[in-house]
Amino acid sequence: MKEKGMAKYNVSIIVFFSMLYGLMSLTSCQSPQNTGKPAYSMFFMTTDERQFIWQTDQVDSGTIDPTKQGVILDRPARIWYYMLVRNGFYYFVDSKTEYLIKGKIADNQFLRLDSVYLEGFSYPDNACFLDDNQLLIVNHSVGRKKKSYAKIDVRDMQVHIGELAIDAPQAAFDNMSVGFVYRRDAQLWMGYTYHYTNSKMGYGSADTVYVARFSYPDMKLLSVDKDARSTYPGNVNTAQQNTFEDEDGNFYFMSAPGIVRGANPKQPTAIYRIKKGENHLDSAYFYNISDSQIQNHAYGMWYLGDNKALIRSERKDLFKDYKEHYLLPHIEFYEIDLLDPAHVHKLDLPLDRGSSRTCVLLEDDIAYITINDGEGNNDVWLYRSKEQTLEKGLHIEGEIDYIFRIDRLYGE
Amino acid sequence: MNVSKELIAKYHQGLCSDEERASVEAWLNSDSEEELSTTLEIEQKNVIKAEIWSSVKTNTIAQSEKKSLPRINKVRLRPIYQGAAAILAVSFLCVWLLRDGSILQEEKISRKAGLSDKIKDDVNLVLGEDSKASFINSLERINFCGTVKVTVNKTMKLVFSATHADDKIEHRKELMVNAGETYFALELSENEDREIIVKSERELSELPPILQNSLRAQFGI
Repeated sequence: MKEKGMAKYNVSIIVFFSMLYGLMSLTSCQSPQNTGKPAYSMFFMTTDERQFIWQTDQVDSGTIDPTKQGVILDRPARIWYYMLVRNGFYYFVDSKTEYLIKGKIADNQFLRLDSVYLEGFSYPDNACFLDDNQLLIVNHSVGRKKKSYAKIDVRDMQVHIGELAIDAPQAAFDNMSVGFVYRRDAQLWMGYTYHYTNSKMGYGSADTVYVARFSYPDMKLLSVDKDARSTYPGNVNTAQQNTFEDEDGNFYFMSAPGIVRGANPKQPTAIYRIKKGENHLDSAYFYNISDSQIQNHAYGMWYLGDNKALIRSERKDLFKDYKEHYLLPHIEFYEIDLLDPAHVHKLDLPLDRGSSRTCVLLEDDIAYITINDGEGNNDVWLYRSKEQTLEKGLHIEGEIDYIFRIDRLYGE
Repeated sequence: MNVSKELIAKYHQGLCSDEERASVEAWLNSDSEEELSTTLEIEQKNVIKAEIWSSVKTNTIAQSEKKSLPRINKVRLRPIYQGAAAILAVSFLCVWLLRDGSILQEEKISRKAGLSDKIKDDVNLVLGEDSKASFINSLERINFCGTVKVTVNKTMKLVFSATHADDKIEHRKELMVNAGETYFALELSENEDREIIVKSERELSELPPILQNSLRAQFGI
């Protein structure tokens, strides 16, 4: 009698766990977050300014609503473009407390896993991984003082803070920015320039691109190259990509003199190069984007392979000031050939909006381009450079104002 | 509950009690100007500058609200006041050097109390570099040049007015401001184009990075 009762319990337990398993399977179908290691991460802001992260394995088709299927990131209220994604983790500085936060998505929540105090690093100029574990952050402007950097080992969040050996702003210039950081073996390059803001001159930048070369990891200044043809090298790297290395190891970066960055609009947006094995700017190379068929300033650049680059450029005839620049749809995409100025191909996409969006992801031969036109057409487009074809992929529903980021969760 | 740096460190380490966590999160989600227990040096410096300017304007601008900003620029302390100020400064330094540590502590506390009293005013002004500003209560108007940080303790329609020193042309911007929020006003001109930009603290990220950088450098935000 007792054994019979036990058998009955065993059956009940098996049925219960079978149902639980079935329920879990159903839940996992609805929510890709539970499938282990999703391939991609997207970061959104809604029209009522809530921030959502959505992780997925698929961005080439389907429809999602991040407000229903994503995970809310409720604080800080405005991370905006100050975020990095690496090996399944998210990194950002909480600007109010100046803590660097390391977090991840688990059980449909954003979990804060670790943190470290970075005094004076509330809105970093530049943040990039030098390898899988070393995160280098350059602090925000500190007026006419020297800038600092923080190198963090993200495994244990141990931090080393040092002063950058580049000149502080002087005279009319009251702040400065480091636009790109590029490491090649035992050397590290930084692109930077100086800025002014005052009631007599408004705001703008020095008319020069500066590129400092340091030894790495001891960060001794080795040389500074100057080029007065453009300014603001590298833009803000967490806002959108402006640098890359080609298949041969040549490093390219773009300047950003347009009104929402360097604010020296009379200078051209241009692409510069440091060739593989060389220590200095390649003075013979200068790709003038503003003077090309694009005829505008640009703010984003991604490498498509085979000497082709994707350029995200503004339309000066469609906006009046910096506010309209980020509010109105006026942004276009072009494919250019880095070595052949005659090759300029405009992509047949809706006008995009958002001055600062990490909106392109490159994988194999496909560029995944997110577009938010302000009229509810929030889509991922697939561009195949070899065939020059465009195809609409994932559609994003809901009250989405901006798609801030699309990232690969794991790998480079 | 006061939110201190130590409490924030505990918070980020996940060591806070429920009550402490709630306090930190309330502080993080607020836009109030309530500072951490350690006040930034630059803030103190600018508050003191604002207080000095405020005392000067009591005898000048506030009495004549229609006077223009260039007149404000002409305000100079008379030599007799400069002499008195120098004597006071030397006396203060002597007292400060002669007193023991406990008195120094009292001085710090009284200065902090002074800061919190200031926040009770309708508007609290902190000046940027090479800037001037005054609040005319009866008109709910701020006359300024340069850059000014404005903490508002009353919801109202506030007028920001800047008169250019060269041609005396006044530019104005009206804005509904909310009690408890902080705003930054910038007077910018380039060639013939002039504008006044006013942004709340939460809207700063909308500005071009150069302007954000400049505000952060001036106000330690």
